[in-house]
Amino acid sequence: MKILHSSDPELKGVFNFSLAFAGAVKNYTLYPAEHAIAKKHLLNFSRHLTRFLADYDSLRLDVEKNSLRYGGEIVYQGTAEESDVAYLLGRDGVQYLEFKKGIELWEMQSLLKLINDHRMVDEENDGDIVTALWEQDYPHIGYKAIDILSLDAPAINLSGFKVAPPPMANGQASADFVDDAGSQESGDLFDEGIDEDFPDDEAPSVVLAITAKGNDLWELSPLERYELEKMVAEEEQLDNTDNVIDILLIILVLQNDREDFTATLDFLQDRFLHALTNQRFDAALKVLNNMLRMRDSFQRKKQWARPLFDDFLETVSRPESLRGPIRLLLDPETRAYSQQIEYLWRVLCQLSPTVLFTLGPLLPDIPSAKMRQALGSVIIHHARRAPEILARALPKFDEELCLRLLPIVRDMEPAIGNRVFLAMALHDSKGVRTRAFDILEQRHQLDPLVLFPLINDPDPNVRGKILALLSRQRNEQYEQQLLTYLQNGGNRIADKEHLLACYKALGCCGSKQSVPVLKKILTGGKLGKMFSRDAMYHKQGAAIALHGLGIAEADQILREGAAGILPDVRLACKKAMGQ
Amino acid sequence: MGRDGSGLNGMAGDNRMLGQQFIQVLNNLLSTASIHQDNNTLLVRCVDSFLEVTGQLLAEDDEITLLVAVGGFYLQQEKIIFKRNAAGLVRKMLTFFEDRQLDGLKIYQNVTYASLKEITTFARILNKCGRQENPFHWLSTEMAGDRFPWVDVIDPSQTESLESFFADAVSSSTAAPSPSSSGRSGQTAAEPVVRRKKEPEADRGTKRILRSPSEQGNRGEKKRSTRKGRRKNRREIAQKKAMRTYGYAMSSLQTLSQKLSAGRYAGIGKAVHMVQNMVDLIMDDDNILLGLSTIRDYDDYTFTHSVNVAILSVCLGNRIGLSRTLLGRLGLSGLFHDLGKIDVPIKILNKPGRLEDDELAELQKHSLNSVRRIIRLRASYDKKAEILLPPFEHHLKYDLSGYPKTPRNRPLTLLGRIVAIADVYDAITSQRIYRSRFLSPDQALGLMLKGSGTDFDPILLKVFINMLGVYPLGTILKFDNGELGMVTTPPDKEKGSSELWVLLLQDNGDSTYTKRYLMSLGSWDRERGGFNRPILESCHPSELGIQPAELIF
Repeated sequence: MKILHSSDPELKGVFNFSLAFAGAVKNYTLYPAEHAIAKKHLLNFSRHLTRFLADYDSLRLDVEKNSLRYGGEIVYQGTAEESDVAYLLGRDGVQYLEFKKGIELWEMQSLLKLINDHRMVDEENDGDIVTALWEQDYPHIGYKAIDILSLDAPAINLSGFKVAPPPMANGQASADFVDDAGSQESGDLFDEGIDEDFPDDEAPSVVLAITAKGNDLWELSPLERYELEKMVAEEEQLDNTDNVIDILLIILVLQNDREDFTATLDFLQDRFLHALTNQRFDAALKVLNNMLRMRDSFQRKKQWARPLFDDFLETVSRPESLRGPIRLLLDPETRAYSQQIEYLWRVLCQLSPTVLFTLGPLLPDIPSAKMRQALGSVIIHHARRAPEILARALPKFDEELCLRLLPIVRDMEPAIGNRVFLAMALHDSKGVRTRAFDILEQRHQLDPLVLFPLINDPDPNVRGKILALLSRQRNEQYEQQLLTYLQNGGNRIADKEHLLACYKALGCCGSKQSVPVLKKILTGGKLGKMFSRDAMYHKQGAAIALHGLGIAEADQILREGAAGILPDVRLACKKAMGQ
Repeated sequence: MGRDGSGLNGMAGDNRMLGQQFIQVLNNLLSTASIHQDNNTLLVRCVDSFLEVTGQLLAEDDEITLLVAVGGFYLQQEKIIFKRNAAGLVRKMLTFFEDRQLDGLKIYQNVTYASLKEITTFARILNKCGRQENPFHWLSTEMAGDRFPWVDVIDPSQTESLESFFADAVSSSTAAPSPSSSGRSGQTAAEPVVRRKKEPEADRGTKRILRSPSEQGNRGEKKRSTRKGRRKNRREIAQKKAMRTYGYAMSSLQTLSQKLSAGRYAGIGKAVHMVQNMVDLIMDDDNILLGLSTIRDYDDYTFTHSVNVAILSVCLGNRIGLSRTLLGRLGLSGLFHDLGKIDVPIKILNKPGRLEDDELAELQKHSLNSVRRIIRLRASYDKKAEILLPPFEHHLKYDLSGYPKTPRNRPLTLLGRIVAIADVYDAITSQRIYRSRFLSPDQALGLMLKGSGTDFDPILLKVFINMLGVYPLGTILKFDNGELGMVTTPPDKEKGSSELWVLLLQDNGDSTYTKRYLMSLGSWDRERGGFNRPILESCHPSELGIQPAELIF
């Protein structure tokens, strides 16, 4: 089949539009709708369509296998791929799509989303492009689809349905009319309500036909008409979040089968996130409160349920689950005190403490001071509950929040609090680090190995404190840490004083194990690239370290160096020994 | 619009917005004529616009047929699609037609010869008739003679209905019509209160058009018979589609249940397709599917019951004006409301007589199990959330008694209340193994009315009764002379028809019945509390082994 390239402006317009349409569909499969490229293609799609519809009332594209036709001419030839518009429309049975004058951008955007949502075919899903088009009922997009019922529906044979049991089973099957129908009012029928499953012995012996009750009984009064209209209008607007959550909770409580339980919990999780996204925090809170209650009460009966509950809480505490609340918190228009916001704080408090990873970094970006204050309280709540998680989340917190947390952490049990302070001691903020250091120092809880990453801290005081800690005692771990550091990163130490201080600390904590390395640094001509530029300083440092080791083997090296022929080694050794 | 969403008017592409334009110019004409004199320039301009748009429409067709149905306008049998900003106009014009009890208008080619005065006078008459007690009757008087040869208004009391194809069924029935059937006309003639439909072919499928006698001769008979033929054809297509829909519903439900019983995943794509067809059919004309909802299957009760509940629910939802989207949800909810019964042991389901307490408790779990089964369906959570509530609520009563008993204390949802009504009605009119006795449709409605306000939403129940009629479709009536008749068209106020039509049946004495002819029992007489002919008793067709749908289709 050939695509017609026509000079006819109408056909040319359709040709251009079809390409734009196909391009937009393809890009919707590749990029999120908010992505600049997807937006660009949408606008292109819109531009071509609007241009065409300025001159014509509608544009109808007939769908054939992998191609689109306009007035019998092929205007687009695609391929059998799930990113191809003609293939997708044809696959789901769309016979034509028709765009009508007056079409709006939202309709185009929605159509692209609709096609993308049904890109992957699945026998067991809940519909396809055709059912989705039916549901959308676009005002300016018409379509015609293959009537799948005519292809697939089994013919029903009405005479095949058996209206009654075989005569032998029930002698009354084709018997007389119901006794005395309509002849007598019965006052006590179905006293407990009408039961569709009533057996014979509970059947109403006499039922008054409706005709005997008078015509007026079923006439709607004006008030009833009004009520009916109102209830229909309410139903059309109804948010059934609460109802669905209620029922899922009921099913969950009654569920003993693990697979059903998991399926229900997954559904509930989806509804919970739905409630969060739609800012129905009251409904979300209801879910959480009930989940926590169930988790406790199931401890004995359904032990297997606990990890499932925990997993639920973890999942809903992740940043991607909290997009709705985050958007709300970042919105300058959000009022700090509203009923839903109150529910939100309570929801956030009920989540897993891992929510700290999301909430902590978010805090400084919240425009409202009152909201920041309230969210800070939530963070403190979780910090108290789970200091270990706080310690892990802290590096992403800002200075203000960390300083606010200091007293909270100080009040924690020392063993736990110290772990948090150690995390604070590694914080990016100098103020936080210094405060944490001071507290740990007061508590004699500074562990130089934990704090060793601060060896490159721009603050000389912090570096000095680390080195001082390392110098306190001879320790193989300290020695190894320093040696590794000097060998791997020594050439990047810009501050030569710091470099010499590191060698000095190595002398204090090291052992004879360092001697061969230090000897090599001191006397070696080719120490490798790492020391090439600052060889002089390293030789000085090595001499200082050897001197500090205070062992005979090291002293011997220094003496030999001081009497040697290499001037820089001689100088370094003499200087070290002189010190 | 149907599954074919092409929508606008079977008109050529260039005229697609003419539907809305036509309503717009008609509205302008009616409004302006009500406040201005004929010499007003604005009114003159409105008439010109009206003529211009009608002229464009008549360039495509011989006549313009504007119909008002299911909350929308249909031009040349196609639904008019309006722009969003025209919602106010649509509402206003729908109310205009509704207030005047008019089903629509027909405008003919000779409108181009109509004078300005004729057109404005007609517009004023239309305006004025809204203030009359019996608008249509008043209008017919005003339009008598040859005042407006270019226009007809469509009479709402003669809507298309099932009787149109019963006549076919009679004439083409495999069961030979009674030799005496034609001779019975004398008998009915002796009973003037009963209007016998002597020539069903003549009225079949047509709306009665109010026109002046002189005009009647002017229209070509050929054209009219072609139109009738087209309508008949449309009805046959709709019947076939309805039958396919019913069959598809049964098969999709059976497949789904088999998969679920076997512990396999099951999707609802087929069911969604089916329900969308069902909604389209019902929005177009609920009679055909209501006729099919009389199907009873003793052996496969749950499946036919579920499909019937879906149909009855969507019909009721349609009557109260629910949107297409909600009707779709309602259909699926109805279809799946008893899905949990696959978890009830078959020995309990089929146990004759009374259930033990533990068996009853097991049976009563089915509404919760329906929810559990829906949760496990392979469908989006949004879709499942939309259809979950009615299955949960369908055994809860309006006053919140019933089952399942849970701490939840919210009022039942509207969709749940609808499904509950449809469920009980279909169930108590069905024969089951545990009861030999079941109720005729009118007895069922009588019984349900007892539960109005406690078991059922009283307003919805009234609408349901209005929808089915006091003698619902399929009810077997026994007359004072021993004759039997099956209700084929109940009176339906909403559709403007007040007569009860029955298909007379002849008892062959061997539990088979032969179709005879259609007969009108007239309208309900308030004073006498009945129809024109005394009805001794009524029963469910199943009691006579009759499948009403078999006679209807």
